[in-house]
Amino acid sequence: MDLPKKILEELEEKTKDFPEDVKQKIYEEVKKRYEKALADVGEPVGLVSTQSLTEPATQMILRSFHFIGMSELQLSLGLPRFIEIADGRKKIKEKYMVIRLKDEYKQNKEVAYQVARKLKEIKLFDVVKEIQTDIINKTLKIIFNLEELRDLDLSVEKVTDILKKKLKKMKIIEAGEDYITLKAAREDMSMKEFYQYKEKIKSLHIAEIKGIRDVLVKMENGEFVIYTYGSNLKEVMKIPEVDYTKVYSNDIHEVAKVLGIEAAREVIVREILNILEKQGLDVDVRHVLLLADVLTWYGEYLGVTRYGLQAEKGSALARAAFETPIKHLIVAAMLGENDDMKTAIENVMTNQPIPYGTGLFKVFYVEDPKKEKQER
Amino acid sequence: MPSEVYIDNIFVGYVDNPKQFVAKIKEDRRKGKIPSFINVMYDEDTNTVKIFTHKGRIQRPLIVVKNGKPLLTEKHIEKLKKGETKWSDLEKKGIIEWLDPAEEENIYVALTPEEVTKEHTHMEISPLVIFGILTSLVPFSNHNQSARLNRGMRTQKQAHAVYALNFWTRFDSDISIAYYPQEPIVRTFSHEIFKHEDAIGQNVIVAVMTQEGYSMEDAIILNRASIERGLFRSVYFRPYEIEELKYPGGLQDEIKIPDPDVVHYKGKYRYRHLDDDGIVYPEAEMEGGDVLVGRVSPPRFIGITSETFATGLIKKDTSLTVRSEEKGIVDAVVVTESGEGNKLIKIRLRDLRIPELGDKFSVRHGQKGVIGMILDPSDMPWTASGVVPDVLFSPFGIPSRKTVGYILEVLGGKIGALAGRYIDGTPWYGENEFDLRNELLRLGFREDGTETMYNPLTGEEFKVKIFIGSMYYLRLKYMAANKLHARARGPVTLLTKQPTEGKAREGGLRYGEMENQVLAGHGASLLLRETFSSDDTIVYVCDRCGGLAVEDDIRNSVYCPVCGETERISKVKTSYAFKLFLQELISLGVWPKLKTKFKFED
Repeated sequence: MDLPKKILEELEEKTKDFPEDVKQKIYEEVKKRYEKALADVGEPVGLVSTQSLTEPATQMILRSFHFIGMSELQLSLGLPRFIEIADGRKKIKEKYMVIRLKDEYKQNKEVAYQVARKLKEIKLFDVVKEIQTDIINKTLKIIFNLEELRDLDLSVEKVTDILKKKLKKMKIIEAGEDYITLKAAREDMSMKEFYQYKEKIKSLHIAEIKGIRDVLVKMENGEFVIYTYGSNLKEVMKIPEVDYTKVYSNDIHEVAKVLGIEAAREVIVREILNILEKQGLDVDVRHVLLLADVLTWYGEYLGVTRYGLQAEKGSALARAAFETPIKHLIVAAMLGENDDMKTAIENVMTNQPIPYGTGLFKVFYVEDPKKEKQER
Repeated sequence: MPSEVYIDNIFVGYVDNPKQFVAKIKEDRRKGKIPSFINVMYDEDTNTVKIFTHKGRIQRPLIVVKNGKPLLTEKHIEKLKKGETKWSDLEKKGIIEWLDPAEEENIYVALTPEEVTKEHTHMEISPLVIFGILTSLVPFSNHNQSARLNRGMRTQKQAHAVYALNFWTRFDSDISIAYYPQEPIVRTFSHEIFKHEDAIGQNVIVAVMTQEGYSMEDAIILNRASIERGLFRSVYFRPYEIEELKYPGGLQDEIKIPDPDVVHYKGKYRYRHLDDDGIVYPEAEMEGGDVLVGRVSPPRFIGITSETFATGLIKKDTSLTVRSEEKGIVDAVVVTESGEGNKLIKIRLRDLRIPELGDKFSVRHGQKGVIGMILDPSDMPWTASGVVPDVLFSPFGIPSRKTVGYILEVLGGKIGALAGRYIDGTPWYGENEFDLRNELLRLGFREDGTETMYNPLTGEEFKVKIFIGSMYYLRLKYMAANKLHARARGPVTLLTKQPTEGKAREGGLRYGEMENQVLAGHGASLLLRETFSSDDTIVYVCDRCGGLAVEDDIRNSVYCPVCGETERISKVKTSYAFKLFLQELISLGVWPKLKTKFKFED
């Protein structure tokens, strides 16, 4: 087996002044050590990784008691975020993006702020002064805040056009200088529906990028970096000033959708390492890499839940042992599933040696197996 | 607009001038025309007058304030001190009145006489009324965090004491009686009220220091010599009860020494303490499993088991035994009759409990901990004057818990012990720290309560001065002797054949899911299998159809009940729980099939 490229390069770099035979000896020694450090055959690496990651997690819970009142430690970045990642949640608590600009705009403060201004989503509610509701005629009179519109480079006409395109259950019957009146498209629209639609209109996307709630421009290592709350990778990458190779979002599902599963895996690794680092925990990166691999190896990002990874398990018994056993047993019975008894869970259940470690091997000396069998 | 009037939430009428109306009622109540338990309120928001007379409201007394002056004057207080006036006289005069939560809505209460203004309507009798009975027993509680005060209050309920003076005639369960209960040196106003009923602990000399790390996690270190002199000694009582039951059909239990041929006979040794009437004699020393009362019951289901069929009526031994892992001396035996007229025997076991490792102790500030180590007096640090402390308390327990009251109590206790007096630790009104320090100085000690102490291991002086004083410690009811439990083999549950759970059922200690993963993580596959083999069984599996085969004990044959196969049947060792699981699936209409192969082939 050959050494990895990175180690070889480092070796080359460090041994360039040595004579050839010494070089060879060092190479042999490094290779020996490298092979010794590899996981043994039958080593349950997954279990060891799980333990290595969850043990610090329990420490995080225990430690939070002692950190009460300490502002430096943001708990939302700690264990809850870890659980979000491992569960593969679609709705995460704090979405954010880190946006870097192309080389030519890096130092340009004005461009940075201009881009930042372009990012924040504008909803209808942001430009409206008042919404008057007429229950009898089922009409809404939307009065605009003209100053706000001017600040945002919008006008009543523009907003009206957008509304025309987007409104489905209502139509515009009147448009004034600073107001428009909407009426229910169908006469039989119920009161409840009417109110729900009104609330929906309030948060209608009018301009800029959808999903981005707040923007912050920061000077970092001599360049302007834009941080956002909320995430919309696809739209942000379209902005010409943005360096699309360096846009980072912590919404793993979105990254998987826009950039592919490999990028999602990279985000998982970065996010977990970030959590561990902030908590001051020292976990080997390979455990994190393994977790990221497991979460993404089906080509999509699946969490460790009964709908996610657990549902992909081959063994019906193992699935039943996790959650909702009855459901899994019924499905297995209907499909006539076959359990190969290949993982630890089923073998512990039936009191058989698990097929890892010392239980992996079946070498056994029997003088005459057939004879033995007959005696049995 | 007239306001509505409600009595006990039932509408009775209208009143034009509600404020005057309410004032009139109050005035009449103070004069004694209306009983004092009636309360009235005017709700301005809803414009209603509510009068309450029903049961179940909590009332509290307050001093009435009129025109910015409390009605209770110095004269009254002097008369009260002399015994000329009583509380009820003050009530009658309208100086003190009882208010319920509803009427409290309309009042404005001053805390102290200095605070009273013209706007106030009432004054608190004392700020101390915010404390309950138990909380008021905590000295210097105004220096403690409220959460700790709560805990300290609760620990007092768990202390070993003399809970009732007739305890020897009672059969209460889980009771401990302290040998030498003492009154606290540092006390509050409540202790004056309770007189001698508040002896729930002992005053010990405590040094706030660690020794050799045995005080880890709040543990305390005790002096062996102190324990041998009787410190915190107590006696534990465990009552037992058995009844001679009557069954339908004229059958009934028999209290006697069982014959050796009854079912579940425990062996002659277990019955050695029984008198001829089948009841244990007083002062017998019992071990766990010994029989207290011998009882023989008729068979519950006649003719079901083959054994009873063969030998006729075999009776069951249902004797009362001492709980496993407990011991004690029979303290009292009472033979009486139950409500249904059955013979009832009550026995109380007594067990001396000397403090040992793991017993729980606490102070009144919520600083609880178990004994981490019992040191010989030669291994305990001593002061320059030769005092060896009874208890070493870890100083690491203080900063994060913020129980400053603990420190003040040690300081106060030291002065109390030296000057031979009680220290008043009543919150807000007790002796203050400054006076205490000065008094300690006058007594010839360092004012901060620290003393020079010597290291018992080397004989050298400690480089720091150690805070040492007297403290009121409580021994709590949680004792290591009650928690001790171990099992090798024992009872199993009927359904799964797995070991039972819990100390009372002589259960096993669970080797859980996480422990399982530890073994799996090390790859110790066979050790893991062995650890989980508590319910191992051998099942027969039909190789042809994969179903479970049946072993016929009488004909000594094995066959498959589904396909009738008798030859190709494998013996498989698996957990009983798995076998049960397969059978439960079968009962649901799912037919699980097992594919077997020879263990050493692939």
